[in-house]
Amino acid sequence: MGDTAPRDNTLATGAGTLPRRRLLRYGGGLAATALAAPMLARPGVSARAARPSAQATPAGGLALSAEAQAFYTPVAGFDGKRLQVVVNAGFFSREDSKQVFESRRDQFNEATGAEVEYIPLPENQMYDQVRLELATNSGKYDAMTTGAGGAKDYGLSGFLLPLPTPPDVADFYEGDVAQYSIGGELYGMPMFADTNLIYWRSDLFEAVGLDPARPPETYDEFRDYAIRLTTDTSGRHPGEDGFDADSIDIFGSAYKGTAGLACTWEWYNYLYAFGGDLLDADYNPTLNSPEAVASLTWVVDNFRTHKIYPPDITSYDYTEFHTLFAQGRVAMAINWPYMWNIVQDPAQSTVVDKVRVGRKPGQVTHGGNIGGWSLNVFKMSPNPDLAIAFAKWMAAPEASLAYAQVQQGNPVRHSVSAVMQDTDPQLYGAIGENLADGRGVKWLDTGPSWMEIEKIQYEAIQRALIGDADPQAALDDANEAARGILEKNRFYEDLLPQLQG
Amino acid sequence: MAVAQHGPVPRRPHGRLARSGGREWRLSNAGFGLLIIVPALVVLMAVFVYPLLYSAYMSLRFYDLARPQDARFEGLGNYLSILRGHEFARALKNTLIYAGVAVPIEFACGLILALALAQITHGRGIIRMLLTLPMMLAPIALGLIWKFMYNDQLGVINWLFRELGLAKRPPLWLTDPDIALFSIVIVDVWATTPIVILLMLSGLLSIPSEYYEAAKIDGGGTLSNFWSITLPLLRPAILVTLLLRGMDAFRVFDIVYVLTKGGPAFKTDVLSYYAYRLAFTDRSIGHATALAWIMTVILLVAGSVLIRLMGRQERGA
Repeated sequence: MGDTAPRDNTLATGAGTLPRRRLLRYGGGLAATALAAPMLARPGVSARAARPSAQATPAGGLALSAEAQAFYTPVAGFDGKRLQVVVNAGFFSREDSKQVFESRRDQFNEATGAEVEYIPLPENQMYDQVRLELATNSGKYDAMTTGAGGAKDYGLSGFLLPLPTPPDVADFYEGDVAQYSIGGELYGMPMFADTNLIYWRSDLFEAVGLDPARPPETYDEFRDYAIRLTTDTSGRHPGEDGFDADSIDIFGSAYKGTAGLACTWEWYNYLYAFGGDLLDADYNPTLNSPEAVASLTWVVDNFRTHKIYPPDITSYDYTEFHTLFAQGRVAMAINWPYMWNIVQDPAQSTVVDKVRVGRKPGQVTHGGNIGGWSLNVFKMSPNPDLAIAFAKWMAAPEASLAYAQVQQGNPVRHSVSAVMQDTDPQLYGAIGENLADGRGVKWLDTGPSWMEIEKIQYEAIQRALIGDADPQAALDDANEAARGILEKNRFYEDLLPQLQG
Repeated sequence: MAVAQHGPVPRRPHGRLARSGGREWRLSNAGFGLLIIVPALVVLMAVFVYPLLYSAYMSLRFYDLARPQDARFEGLGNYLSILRGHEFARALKNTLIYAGVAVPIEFACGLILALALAQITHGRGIIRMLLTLPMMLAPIALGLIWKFMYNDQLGVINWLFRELGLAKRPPLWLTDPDIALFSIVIVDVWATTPIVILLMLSGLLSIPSEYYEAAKIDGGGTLSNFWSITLPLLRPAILVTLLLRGMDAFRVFDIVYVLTKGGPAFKTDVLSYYAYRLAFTDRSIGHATALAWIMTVILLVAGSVLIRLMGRQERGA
């Protein structure tokens, strides 16, 4: 230290000297406290053996085999381990939903000794942010809730771990399991299912002489009903003398025509019902098939010819769509079950108790698309076994029932649907019927290409709606562009073999 | 408090510091100044220069977020691909129209309001605060507000049109492909005119009143004062305003994202939103960063031209 070393064993600080012995005493005390803190925070941890916790049984009143119970029940032995789980912030927007998630987490933490932390993010930000972390293999997140396309999107990109197949997999809706699987391996534990229903105003049906309990059976009938229900401020309907298309009081229906997924995912219901699909058996795009063109022509004619949709639907996302329906301005709608809560809430709706739900119309078939959410585990997780245990726990029957009870519309299991039918036979009967008709959106099979293809898809629909191109031309262009995207992203060489197992 | 073993440290002139123990650090003023800003420079390098250089590096690579393992050098391929694409041409056209319409309107409105405010002596502060309220709103919030205001069935604007008998069929603000872009311009003008007001007002208030007094003695009128005194002396503030607003308008993203997401059918697509889609929909970071650099070059060239033009006018005056 030379001449500059202090000679009295003190350390000069901003506030004065601190004898070294005292410093060592304080520093050692702090270090000891820091080391002891984890143990002090969890009394009795040393007494916890590696056995399933009695509090963590997932039965919840639903029948469960011993094998399934063992599958879902987490075991101890993960003391001190942490998990960072990204969740859609929308799940926490309602207090009851948030409590379900937090309760499941807390029970899991207690059973395993681990510490699970939720990272709630708004949906769009969630995907962008996680994608960046995955691309850099940062190890920041262990697991994530994703929508319908997430398991295949991230799975086909090689970011996810395959998950064990639950022994009671038959209890999940088949379409959900299929949309979270790649080549027979499951990459997303199903949490919520989702499907579109038909909503209709039973009072308006009665007013125009329609059976208030019977929705249209076909989309041709749907249009006929919509024309009868569309009413201008003078009480006239489209086609009648003096009908004023600029002064419509109630629209027969509406469409989510925004530049986004809301647009395409509504159209898929019509596409499937008209007998069309997005890809053929060899995964060649079929956007411009006669059936697909017919379904888009049906939508465009509703808008441009029959005037049964509001005139500004190309800006309608979910908010505008359900707000207009809840304000009593739309007579029929095709939408997800979430809208049921809104139309039954007096604070948000002027049509409480005037709305019914049921099975969507068919045309060639009653087909419609399904959505849903699953929990995925990342390869970059520092604690993969713990993350998989958490994913299983969050997909347990008790959890599925809890989600359905608070979300009011998303039972992912047949058994949960059966239980929920007793609480609301109309809603859950409709959900069950539509889920049984439903199938996944095949774009999801293309993995990382699907968002890019969705973009050219909604562009095509909007071009047809605004009259920039007729449906055939718009879908011809979209089909060619979709093919180009799949080839550019080497779907046929790299990903299709994975899908086909 | 410990006392230094070898007595107090004497200071010498010209920034030189004598240290105890006989060693001296000889630093010039400039060197000393550089030394004390090194921490700030390090931070600047970390948060600005390094990301800038890294983005330039990424713009020369093929980098797909879904396939990071396939990253490779592409050279200028990303740039050529962008420049040849119809999406770039469409977005560039919309962006130039947007900036070319929005900036002059908000400049004119802002200057007129600033001139009016400058004449007010009592209550100027309150009026200024009221006029600048829109700029206190987050862009996303004001975008959402306007999106509902523009709604044909639920929005207040078309309701007023109908109630006041202004139009039987009010405009479809965000869905008519011929006017959607200009509807977004209206929102931008409403939100950013306050910034122009503030910049112009600060410039106006800095003009010495003696010039106007002298002009009054010489019989100068309002218009001639404006052309001969106000505008020339306001030139630096005008340059700053046009530069700032021009760059901001060129880079518009948030209100387009909220109001139309580039629709209908990408009729309101702009360069920033196109870059966002390249990054997070197409997942091509290489293309997205290349487009960002193309935008940067355009802005640099445009800014340089504007500065030179203003400089020539000043010398000519």
